Amino acid sequence: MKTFTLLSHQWKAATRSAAASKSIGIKIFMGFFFFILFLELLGGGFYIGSELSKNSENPIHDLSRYGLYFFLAILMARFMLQKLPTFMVKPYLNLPIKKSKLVNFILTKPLFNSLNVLPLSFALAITAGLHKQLDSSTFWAIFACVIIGDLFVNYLSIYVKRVQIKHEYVFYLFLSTLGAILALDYFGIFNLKAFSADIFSQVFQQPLYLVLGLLLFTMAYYLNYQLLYKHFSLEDFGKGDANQRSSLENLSYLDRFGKIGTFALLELKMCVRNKRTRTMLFMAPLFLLYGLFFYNDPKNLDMNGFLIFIGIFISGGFMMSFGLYFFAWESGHFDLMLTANNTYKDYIKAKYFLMLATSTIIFLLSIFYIIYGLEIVMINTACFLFNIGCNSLLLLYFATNNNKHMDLSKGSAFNYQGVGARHFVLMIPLLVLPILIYLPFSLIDQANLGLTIIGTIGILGLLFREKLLDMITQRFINKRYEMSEGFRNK
Amino acid sequence: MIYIDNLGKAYNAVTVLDVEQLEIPQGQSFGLVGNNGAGKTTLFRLILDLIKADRGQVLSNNIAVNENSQWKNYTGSFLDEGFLIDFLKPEEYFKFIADINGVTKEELQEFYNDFADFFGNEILNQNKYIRDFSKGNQKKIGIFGAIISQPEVLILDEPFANLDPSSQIRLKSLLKDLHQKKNLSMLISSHDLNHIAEVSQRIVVLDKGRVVKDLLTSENTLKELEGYFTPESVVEAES
Repeated sequence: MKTFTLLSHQWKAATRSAAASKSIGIKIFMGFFFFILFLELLGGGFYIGSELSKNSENPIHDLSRYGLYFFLAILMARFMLQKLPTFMVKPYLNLPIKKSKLVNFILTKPLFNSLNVLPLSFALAITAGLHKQLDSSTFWAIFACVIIGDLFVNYLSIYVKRVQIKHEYVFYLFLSTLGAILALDYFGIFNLKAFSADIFSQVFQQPLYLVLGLLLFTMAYYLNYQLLYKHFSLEDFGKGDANQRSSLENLSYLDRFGKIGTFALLELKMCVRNKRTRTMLFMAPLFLLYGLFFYNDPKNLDMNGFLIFIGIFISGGFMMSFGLYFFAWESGHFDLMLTANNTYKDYIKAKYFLMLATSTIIFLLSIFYIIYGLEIVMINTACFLFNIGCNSLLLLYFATNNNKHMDLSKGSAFNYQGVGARHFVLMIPLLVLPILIYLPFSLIDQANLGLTIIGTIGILGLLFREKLLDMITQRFINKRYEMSEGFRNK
Repeated sequence: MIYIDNLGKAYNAVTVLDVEQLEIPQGQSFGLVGNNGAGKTTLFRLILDLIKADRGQVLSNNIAVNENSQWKNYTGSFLDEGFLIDFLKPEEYFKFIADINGVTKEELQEFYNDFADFFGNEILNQNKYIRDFSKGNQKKIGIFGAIISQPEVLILDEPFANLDPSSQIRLKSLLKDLHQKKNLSMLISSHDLNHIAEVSQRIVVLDKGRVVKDLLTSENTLKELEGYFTPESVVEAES
């Protein structure tokens, strides 16, 4: 079997998959996003280069101070955005193809990712801006540095991602290591800039050091190779982890709430026991900490509309990242939900109460933001009320449009399987609506009245929830065939 | 009990089901056979209101299933893994279904005792999630889930597939037992003509969505079915 045949199979797999034909919307969105990013990087790189050439006495040295940041940024971006190169190995395993060939094939796949263009074009744009101070040998050294460094980073991120499938803690270890490095640098304990300057000025002076970089890359490749070769039998990377804990087994507390409690408990178990939902749970505290990034800057505190945005995010971020995909989470057992002896309203209500509960907990925790002033807590309270009264119902309503199967076993952060462009668009009204309500009042200096109205809308939503839930249930009933058909189509 | 009235379903202009009239009286054990693509699962899904009919309707106890969900009170079903919750342990899954149907803990325990035979000792107290069981054991879990609520109508799609020989035999006696004791209406599909002839009082053969045979089971039924499904006769029937 020739490599070409493998390639042609890959092409067919990509073009004939159900997902490929369905999500044109998300493709256009991603293509557009990619294009904008590309232009921004070109422009930004050129701007940095020309500014350096104007203002710096030793631009090459200054540039090399930021080399490691550059590669760290690529590492993060790759880790988060790039999908793990996968390949349906099973049908080939019983054919007379050398295992090493298959492994190498999988490992060369990431070289043909369109994202690879970005780091290099950014670096080239910088050198273009710097062209006056750049001799050709330094240019080629930078060029080689970026390519080799990027290769290393690429395979490192793939390695970590692949190990993390089996050992989830590696993901958190990886994140905290990166965080620790940046924190040490931030607090001046370790000078990343000087370290970076040391490395890269050496390389620019003596390009033979690039061999070391190549060595690093080879090592990363070899690690990947070893890992894949050893764990080729797919069971190792299959679903579920071997050491399962049966969490939440004895949570009989919820029994008291009848069928709604039964459904809520099921939902909780689903969250804890599936990889994809579990990652989402770990992300939840981030929404709570969202405020820390912004409240510190007094400039932000003056922009009232912006604070509302943050308020909605703090108590509603988790709710949204969960709620937008309601029903789709359950695509694996949706047929059971439709035929089980229950009224649909109880089923939907359970989701509603889960949103109320999580949002309330996060809101209560967020009261500690009172250290930034009472006003912040007031804004967050209004936003919280809006979230539980209004956004929660909107989410349920939107969720009845979900009709793509979601695979919970393969999940981890930044997994876009089963996600459509629609989901990004739907976030907008949830975030913007309260700001739109608020802005006119803020402009006529009645900010507090605006807040009161946001909160009141939330309370009205809570008061009329039975009526509104009935409407959502009716919509669910109308949409149920579409949903179940989509979910069955893996 | 179940009345199918002028039911039709097509995907992309290809007819997958076209049944004019079919009545399954209360307490009948009803077998459905047909080659792949004959429309067996589609028919079951329509009866369970999982897909929308292009025309016609299914009445259960004289009520259209797509308009009123009363039928859920007395219908148990297991078609495929879409009815299993794969991240639960079998006991949790059974408890979930029991809770939804208002079956008490004691009744559930009684059920466990009654069907201990069917489970062997591979299902209960295994401390693993349903997704980690073999296909055969998953099937047993699903079938058991379908009967926990003590339904009046039981719908099973290919319950014998993937089961080991002993379990197939146990399942047959379990189904016969249930049928006799509880006056259960059973709708079962299978590719195994022997099994289906053994557990059903009536057998319907589907081909390309149409009912081509409707037999009350007798000594000759198996022969007739085998004759029908022997390749040459299929060709003849088509020409």
